[in-house]
Amino acid sequence: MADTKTDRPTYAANYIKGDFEQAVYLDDVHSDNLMTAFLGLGAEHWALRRRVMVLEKFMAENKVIDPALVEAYDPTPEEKIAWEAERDDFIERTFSVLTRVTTDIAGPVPTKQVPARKPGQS
Amino acid sequence: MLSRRNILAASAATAVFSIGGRYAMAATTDIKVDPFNQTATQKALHAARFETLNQEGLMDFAEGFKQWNGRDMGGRDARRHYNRFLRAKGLPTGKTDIPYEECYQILLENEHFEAAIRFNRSAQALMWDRAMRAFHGKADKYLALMEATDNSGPGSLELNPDMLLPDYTTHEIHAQPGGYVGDPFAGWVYHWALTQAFYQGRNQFDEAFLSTAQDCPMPADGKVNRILDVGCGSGLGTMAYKERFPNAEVWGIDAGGPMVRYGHHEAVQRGLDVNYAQRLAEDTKFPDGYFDIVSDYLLFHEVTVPAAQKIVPEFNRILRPGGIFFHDDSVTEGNPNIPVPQTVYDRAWLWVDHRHNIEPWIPGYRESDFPGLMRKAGFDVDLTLKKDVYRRRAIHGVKPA
Repeated sequence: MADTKTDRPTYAANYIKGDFEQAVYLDDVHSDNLMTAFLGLGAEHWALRRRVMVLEKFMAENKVIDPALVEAYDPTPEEKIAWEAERDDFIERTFSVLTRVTTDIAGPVPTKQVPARKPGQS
Repeated sequence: MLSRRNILAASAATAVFSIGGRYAMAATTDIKVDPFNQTATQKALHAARFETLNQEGLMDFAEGFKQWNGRDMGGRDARRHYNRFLRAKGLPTGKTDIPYEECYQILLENEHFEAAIRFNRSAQALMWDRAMRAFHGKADKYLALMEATDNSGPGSLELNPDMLLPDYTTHEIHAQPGGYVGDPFAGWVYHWALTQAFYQGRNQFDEAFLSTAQDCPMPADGKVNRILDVGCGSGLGTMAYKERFPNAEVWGIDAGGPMVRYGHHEAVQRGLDVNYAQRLAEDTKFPDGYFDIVSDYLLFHEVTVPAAQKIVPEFNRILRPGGIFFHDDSVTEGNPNIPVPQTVYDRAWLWVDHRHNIEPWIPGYRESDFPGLMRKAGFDVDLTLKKDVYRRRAIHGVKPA
């Protein structure tokens, strides 16, 4: 990861290494690893979405798209609110299935009616 | 290529200059900053932006995912689900003294809980890893930036690389790779990742640190000439005290050399005259009665109980009569105003924090009578609660005149 091999003073000291990376919480280590990779992909996807939003803003303003300006772009307070909402919607849309509380569906088909779906209820 | 950081630094220097110029003649100047309604200039001073838009986007996702996990995996519906699960097992849903690890093992049988922990740990790992890559990926550059300010002011930096670090200070707390002492860029990583993603959008402009400094009570005589921020980490809270009391001599100490080194670098960038030193909380090296205020922000849950029993008397020693010890951390026993959360769910998460997020000393701190420790060290304790942005509860002690 590092771009240097240096003997410059860093003022870092020896430390006690934790074992937290070894933990397995799901049924097997592969499920745990896939979940972490899944989050990593979500992060990469969202970072690209943000970049596209910056590019689209410059395009809409008919500005020359200078990569340095794209890198330096700081969203306005209004954009921050809108982008956070879009981020939260992306996360909810993508990951909410993981909050599913499962039940045993053995037995007869359900017979209980629930209220009709409303427009916009996904 | 434009530097995102340099754009902000130009505005920040202007902000500090105006503070110094306006208030230079006052004896004890107490500047009120509203952490949650900052001006554009204040935001420019406090903002931390990663070098690239991509790094910023990755951290923004970690922030959003942590919010989602807390809200959707730990919210009211989830609590009801866990309570149904516990009732089905004949276990209590209210206060309990079932051991922490046993609470964890009980809930680990619930698939919702095991997923919530997985998300919690993966999001934490994502946050640290992407921040580590940002700084270690350009190690020469960031080392050079610190080297350029090591010996320059305003303010000062004292590093003690030969200092004997007690083992308790050398853990990878918060599962931060290398912890506070073992990574050259610990301060950068802590500031740029944890204070943004960890605070889940509530600390984009140092709000947590500013609100703590602003909440600190004044000594009865209104005199504040010297302030010490103990366990200052990357030094942001120390800077918040300097912003509030610009004429005071302000110090931040921490066991982590890379932490105070970064704090000094950042203070120089902000034009703040703050002193940082790598020293231990139980052996601060300051003279008796030197400070008007000694503050800790999230220190004591990171130290052992025996160390705390040395640190609190040390605070008493270095405070002058009438001085304030301002303590801002999570709740402990001994404060009737706010009981320690003790359900199976609370205790299971405490275990996760302790064992899986490397908070080795948090159970001991939580079970200790911290107000009692303050009284034993000679403080008059005020348990009037002061809320900050991250649900901790601050209390304070006064050294009797």
